[in-house]
Amino acid sequence: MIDADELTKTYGRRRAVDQLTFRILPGRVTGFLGPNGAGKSTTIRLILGLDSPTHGRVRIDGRPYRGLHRPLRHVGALLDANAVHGGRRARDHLRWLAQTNDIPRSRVAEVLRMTGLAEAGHRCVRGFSLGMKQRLGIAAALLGDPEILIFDEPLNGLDPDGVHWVRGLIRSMAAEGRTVLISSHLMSELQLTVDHVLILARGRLLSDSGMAELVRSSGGDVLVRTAGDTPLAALLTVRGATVAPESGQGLAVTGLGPGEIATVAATHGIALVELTPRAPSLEKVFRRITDPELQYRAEPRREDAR
Amino acid sequence: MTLFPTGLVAAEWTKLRSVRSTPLILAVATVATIAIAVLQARSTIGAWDGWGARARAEFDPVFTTFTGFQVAQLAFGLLGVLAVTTEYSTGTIRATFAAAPRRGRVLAAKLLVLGTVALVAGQALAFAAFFAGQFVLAGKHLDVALGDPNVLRAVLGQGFYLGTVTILGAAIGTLLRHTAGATALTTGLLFLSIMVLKAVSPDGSKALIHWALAAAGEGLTWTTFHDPDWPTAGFALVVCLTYLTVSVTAAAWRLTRRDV
Repeated sequence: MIDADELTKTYGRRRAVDQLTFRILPGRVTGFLGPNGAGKSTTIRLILGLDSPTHGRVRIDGRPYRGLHRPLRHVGALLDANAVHGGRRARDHLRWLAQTNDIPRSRVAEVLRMTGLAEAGHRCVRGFSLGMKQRLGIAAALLGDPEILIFDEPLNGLDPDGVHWVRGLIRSMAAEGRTVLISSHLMSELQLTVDHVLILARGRLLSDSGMAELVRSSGGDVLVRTAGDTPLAALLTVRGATVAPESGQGLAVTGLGPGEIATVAATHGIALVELTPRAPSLEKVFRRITDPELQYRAEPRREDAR
Repeated sequence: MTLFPTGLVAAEWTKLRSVRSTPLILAVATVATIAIAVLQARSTIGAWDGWGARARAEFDPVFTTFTGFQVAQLAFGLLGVLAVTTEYSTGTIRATFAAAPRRGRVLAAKLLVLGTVALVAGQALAFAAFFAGQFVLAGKHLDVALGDPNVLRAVLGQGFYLGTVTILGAAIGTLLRHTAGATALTTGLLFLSIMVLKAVSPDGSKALIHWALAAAGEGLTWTTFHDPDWPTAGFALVVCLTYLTVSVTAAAWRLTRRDV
């Protein structure tokens, strides 16, 4: 479990992270969502004890990170896939990391195999594609078989196969009861992967909720299609739904669930061709929550207007 | 947990030996010191008959053939600088401190590994250059033996000086974090500080000059001729240890307080 309490980090006059209080629980995937500059990476550096908070604190299973004995056995982190010495062989990179935490040497070959890099272990990292570097970073995070995994933008640069593999890996890690935190600025990446979302903008926590709840509260709708003209729209409106026409005799219904719609249709002998609950994209949800907070919006600056 | 960070030392050794710059730097130092020792000795025996009394009196069979160690100092200093600054320039330092949050121990392990490598390599170079140089000088019976006064001290001193320079480079790298800046400062301390200290010293006073690192290097390696600009070997050792203590303490202090 990761436990942050009023975590604050100030650089000069800028508050990169502003009084964050949250808990990241085991057994599920938590997404860390926000535009560039929202404070995601700073928060991760604070969790790992790389930066010291200006105020507040963050604990790993009740202890400060810097107090952990052999921390790689508790927390595995992928920060920046490019942060590897290019002149070093992949195997040597993992080897020195393993040595710092007294992790047996055999584990290096194991994580290379797990991440599909078994054949590339003897090659210098300089020759790796970004996708391979991501795999190497994930291999490094898995070295100590940790209970807590933190991945900062893990899907960057991965091909579709790689994305599929990382998603599967993340899900299986959470299913094993581990704590998994993954950050992203791409909502579509997280929508399929996470159970819980923390939304960050300008260093502040805007939302801390389950993925399903977030989607529900942001208003999904139901797409209904019938064979030919029917009075269904009117029947639904009477029951309090809002109905908007869609192409191909479709109706976008909000305010009633698919079960209720089906019941109404059945009662009146209307045959349904399609009945699809639609979740709003996380992009939409995110834009709704963060819009007033966006700090790097593309708008003409005052100096330009002069 | 043991008091001695075995894992960290092993990790630092792996880091050091798994990048190409390490053997490259050591190769440059090897070629420079041994080749220059031979060339210098050969040019000395060729010119000896034409030398006046003063030139002959100022000839030091060890010091003169150790000119190549100027190159070796630069190489070893760079070895120390790069061992730290490449971690910052590549971003590896974050992985290092995430894996080992007790930064003082990481620095200690790194300096221990660097210092050992530099001392062993430095001593090997000093002895190799000594024997190569003396072998050539023997053609004119100008050579000295390890048992002659000051000779063993000069050879050991040269190796020790290379170790000092390496640790100094690593400490400065830790303080400045950038390769260019740390290289410039290390080089400046090694080669320019004597000029600066001479310029600010009152006429005839050697007190300040003796604190220049280059003067200490010379104070450690002379055998038959002693320039008054150089401190005694004992004082030179104190100067080296002072540079080491101050730079390493400052590096440790800064490292444990700054964000990565």
